[in-house]
Amino acid sequence: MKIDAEAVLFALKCFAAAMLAYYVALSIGLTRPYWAVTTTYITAQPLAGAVLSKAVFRTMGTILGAAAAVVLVPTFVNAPLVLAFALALWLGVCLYISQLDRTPRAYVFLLAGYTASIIGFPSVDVPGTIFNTSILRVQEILIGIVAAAFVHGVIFPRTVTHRLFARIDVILADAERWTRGSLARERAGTLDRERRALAIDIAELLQLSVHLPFDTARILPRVRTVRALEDQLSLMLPLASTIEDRIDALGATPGGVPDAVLALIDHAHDWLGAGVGEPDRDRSAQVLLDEAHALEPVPGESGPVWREMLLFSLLSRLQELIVIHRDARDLRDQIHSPSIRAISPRVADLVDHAGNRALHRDRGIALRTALGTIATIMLGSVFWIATAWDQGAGAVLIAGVACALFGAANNAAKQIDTFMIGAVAGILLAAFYAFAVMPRVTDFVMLAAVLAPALLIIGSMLARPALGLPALGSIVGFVNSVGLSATYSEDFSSFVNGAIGLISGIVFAGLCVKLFLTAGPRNLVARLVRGGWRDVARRARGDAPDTGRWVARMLDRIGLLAPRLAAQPGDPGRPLLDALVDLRVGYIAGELAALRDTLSAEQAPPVAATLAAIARYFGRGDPASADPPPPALLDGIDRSVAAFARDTERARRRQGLLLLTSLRRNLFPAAPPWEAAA
Amino acid sequence: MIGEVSIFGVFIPSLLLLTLLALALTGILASVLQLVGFYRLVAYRPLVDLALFILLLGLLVLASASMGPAPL
Repeated sequence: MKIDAEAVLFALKCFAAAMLAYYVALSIGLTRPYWAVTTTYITAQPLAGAVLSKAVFRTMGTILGAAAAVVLVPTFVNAPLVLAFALALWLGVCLYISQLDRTPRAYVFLLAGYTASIIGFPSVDVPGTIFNTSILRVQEILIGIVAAAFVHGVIFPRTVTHRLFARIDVILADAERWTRGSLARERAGTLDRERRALAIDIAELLQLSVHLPFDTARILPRVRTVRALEDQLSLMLPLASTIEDRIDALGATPGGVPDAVLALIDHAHDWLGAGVGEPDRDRSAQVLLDEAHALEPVPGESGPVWREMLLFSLLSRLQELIVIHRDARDLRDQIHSPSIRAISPRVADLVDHAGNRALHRDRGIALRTALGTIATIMLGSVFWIATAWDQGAGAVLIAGVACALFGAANNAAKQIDTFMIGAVAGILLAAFYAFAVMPRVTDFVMLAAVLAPALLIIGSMLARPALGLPALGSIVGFVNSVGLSATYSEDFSSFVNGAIGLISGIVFAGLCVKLFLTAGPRNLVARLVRGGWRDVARRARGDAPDTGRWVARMLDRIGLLAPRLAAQPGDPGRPLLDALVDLRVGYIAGELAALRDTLSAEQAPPVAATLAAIARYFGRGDPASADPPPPALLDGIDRSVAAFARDTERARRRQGLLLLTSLRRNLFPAAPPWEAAA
Repeated sequence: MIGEVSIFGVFIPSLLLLTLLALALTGILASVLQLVGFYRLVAYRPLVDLALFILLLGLLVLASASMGPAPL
């Protein structure tokens, strides 16, 4: 019921924006008002901030694309095929850039690319009109955008901030629940799945935060504060599983987990359930931290070294976990705070250190999409120019736009097919309107009234994620062919010609996507895993010293992996768990690499050998071959442990042993406990 | 106010340019007001932003009116 009310409101707003844009465009006397109408629908989104940000990006992209068309078309006007190639190349380059930027900002380049095509291709036959068409397009788009921004931003806006607050509360509650699960030594299957959802949640926060500066809420949280919270959330995932692992490993050693430590873990468990939500969490967290600090053994001073190392590792990770949960809650309070001043010095510090989020980039896929789009346009252009088909320009530009919009998607061909079904439905509806209804319409009010049923129904479909794509197709099909021009002209042959051009363009794009852009999901998964491995190798070589950025990129990959693996048959858990282990190994390797300059003469050679072996193992680049880490690596780790255990400098010994314990547990979970003699 | 402005030979309605300028200025002004916490004093922010945009556009149109029909 609630979603229905939202959808109805959304449909009404879309319709109001469309009619406003149409009216304004008509009164100014622009010749293609349907561009403005289509724009109001394409820009429309449920969240006000998202509409405004898309509006800004779309304006910038349109101006850029129109400028490109104005430069390209007169330059190559004498050779249509060369001009088609230039426009295709421009679209390809823009597409490539937009795919490397995986935030909503990418829309600028996408628009720049296909605006040039939309203006340029129809001008190939009539180059004299290019200046007029360009400026017309910019004006129409701007009218559509302003109308959409006005209606969606001012009338009952659903703010990004509101959604962000709700999401953050849910994510934090989830994270606290599964952290408690880890501490309670529960191993439920659902827990694992929930935990993996965190990577996707962080990605969603990132996407929302890009819209944040454009939001229309009265009190906007700072983007940096959200970034800082993302940083904290990113670290929760590896920490919780590390602690689980240490508890297991300790339990397997003679003596098990000491009772005092078990009691501390239970306290932390209870604190996460209650104390962390209270305003005095600073104090209650400090009590736990002091308790944990008091229990820390100094490895190498008493008892068996390996057991002490595990215990030390467990306690220090537990402290980190408590600090992170406390900081995450503080940041949540900061985001809710009406003032932009930091609520505590700790929060100010966190916000200052919030890094820019780094995202996984796949140049190969981006390049393939760009080249595939260029090839599609060129094939279409050759056919169009050779046969002198008068609707060819429209078909080619639609094919190019479809490739640009859907080419990067996982299931591009299927999306284009769905889009086409929508477009066909839209055109059929438009035929009914254009030849049965429109001839009887005499003024604007009546036109709005007769359009209302069709546009409202499509609008409410647009609000439902499952129907969004066919709805978009039918909007494009309907609005472009129903004849929303300055004057009504009853011309059945040009209607049919236009419709044939539109549909054959989409069909052609679907065929070409199947030809050029067929990456099965498995291939994409393999590429993601390989990208992760390369990053781990890079970090082991000491080439990725910025931990925050590195972790962000690895987590982004896990976020991309999760839905792709879930869509595959078989067990999706395995590669994901592996990716988490890779994340931890890389994290530790980077910390070890950072220590390199401070090591003693005895420690440096085995540590360097270990890091080189890690870089070699992860640099081998073929995730399909599941060979285990080489025994020489275990040997290197053990020799490094021995070197650190003899270290007389206490801080360095602690730090080194802490990292090596984690490394050994992650790479060789089945190896027997380390012994000094080994 | 001048009818059209020529940029590299493309004649652009000056109202289009002024609108773009006013939108950009509104964006900048809104983020400054956001920073100083002005919107806490306001009941419904979108209307204030809209009013700001219209005021700025009006001011720009008035300011450019004095330029007359001379080329920019």
